[in-house]
Amino acid sequence: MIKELKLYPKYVSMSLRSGLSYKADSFIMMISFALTEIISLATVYLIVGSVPQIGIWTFNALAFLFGFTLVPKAIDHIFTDELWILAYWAVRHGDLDIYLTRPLNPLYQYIAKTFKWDGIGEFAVGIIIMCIFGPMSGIVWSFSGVMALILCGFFGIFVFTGIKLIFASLAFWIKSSGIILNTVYNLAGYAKYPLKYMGKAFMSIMFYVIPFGLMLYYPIECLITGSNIWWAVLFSAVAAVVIMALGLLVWNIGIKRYDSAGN
Amino acid sequence: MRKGQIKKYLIFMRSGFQTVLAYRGAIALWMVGALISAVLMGLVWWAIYSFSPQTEIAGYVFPQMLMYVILSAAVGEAIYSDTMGQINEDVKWGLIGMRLMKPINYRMQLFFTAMGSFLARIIIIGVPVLTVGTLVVVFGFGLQGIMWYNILLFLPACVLSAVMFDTFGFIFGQLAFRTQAMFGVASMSQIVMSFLSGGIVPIALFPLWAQSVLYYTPFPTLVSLPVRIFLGQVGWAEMLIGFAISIAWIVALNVLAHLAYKSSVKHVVVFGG
Repeated sequence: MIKELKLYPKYVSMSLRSGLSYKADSFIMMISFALTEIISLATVYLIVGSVPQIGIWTFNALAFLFGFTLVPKAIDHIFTDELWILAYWAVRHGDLDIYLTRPLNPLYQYIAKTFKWDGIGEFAVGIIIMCIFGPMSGIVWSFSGVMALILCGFFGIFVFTGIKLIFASLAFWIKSSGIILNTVYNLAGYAKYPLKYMGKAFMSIMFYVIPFGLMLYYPIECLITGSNIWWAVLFSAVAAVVIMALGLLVWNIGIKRYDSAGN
Repeated sequence: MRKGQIKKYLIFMRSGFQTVLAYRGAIALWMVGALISAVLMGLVWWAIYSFSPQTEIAGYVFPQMLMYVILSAAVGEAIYSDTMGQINEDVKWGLIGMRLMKPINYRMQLFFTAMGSFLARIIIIGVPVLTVGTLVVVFGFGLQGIMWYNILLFLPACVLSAVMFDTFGFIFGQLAFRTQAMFGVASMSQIVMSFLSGGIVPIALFPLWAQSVLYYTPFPTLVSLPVRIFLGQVGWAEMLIGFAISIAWIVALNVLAHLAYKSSVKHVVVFGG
């Protein structure tokens, strides 16, 4: 573990240096991620703007929720983007051979390889939106509320990573699981809408099956209704542990099945 | 084009068609993803309508809005062309050199491949999704006002959209000669186009100033026009004008594409021999 931690900065610097030779490209990626999110917020505005209020949710509150969903997503994106490659191509191309021959945990090596600093665009948009709409959202702010929200965001990162790990590792069985991962991952985009009013069935899925709703939507709902947000922290922590454990399990079983691609 | 030449390019059309058939599993999975998104957008709208003081939002009652999200997802998937990705691959792997040497027009080759793929997508995705979607929304949610001629006129509108989408793909694809970040360019151009063309929410929901600006751009004819024709919201006069505008934009964009391509070819660097 200590060896891994010591090596991580070296991996990051490697990744950054190779990224720096394509400075303009990373910049385009950053703009692209930021713009995608801005359009997404505009969509929420257009949809929600057609009614005065959706139950307890005003547009300002939804915008704050939107900003919050971006933060854990962006942090996960910065650290574990390589999992997308696993889902789409790595198994089919036999790219994993090299990691199995080195005296380091293969999953660690695989993920550490890529440090996507262009995810900072998404992160910045999230934080800016939260700062703009936080005061207008009608939430009564307290120190404990802010702390709880930060913790929920922190656990949220692991829910994103865990979900990506589970569905990307499916590629060990079906060679390419990118489209499935993409579909599941996109569900996170619906945690920014008022789940409470979108039907019991979908809300249950988003709370108990793919817990994006639990760790992104629920904390903000607690803040708005004034319920105890620390329940959300507790649930998010459990969800993060369960999902990560499941992800590691699927990866560990999967990597044993891995065959090289041959020539 | 002479007859022999058309025959030459029809081969690319067939190859585009067959490529889609070969990857029908993957394409069907993308469609499932797009449909799940459409159903979830339907749920969002259901929540919105249940809190709306009126039954109509921007001229759409709920069943119409539901049909709108399904249709725009289906149109988006059907008209999708891989031209931008293809140019990127060709430039990245140096195949562009071979492509330019052959006595085949590169633009035409890509265009016919895209049209073949469009035809296959219409058959394997468009027809089943629209049939099931329409039946569900008409009988399950009481959608009214869809006539057979709407569906018939929807098809040529989709063809024009597919041609326009491919042209955009070719224009943005020129950036592959200049940057490695084509993933960013592709996702950015797609989301912007989809948003501006009414692929995410109907244009009628946009603020009025934005609507009037948008009607000076080619985007409303891309998704909004075919979808609204299907829904029976477009009168005959508006439809004719819409088709004319769409064709005019396709011509103009192709001139632009040609100029952009001429300038990018000068940038081509291919290593090895």
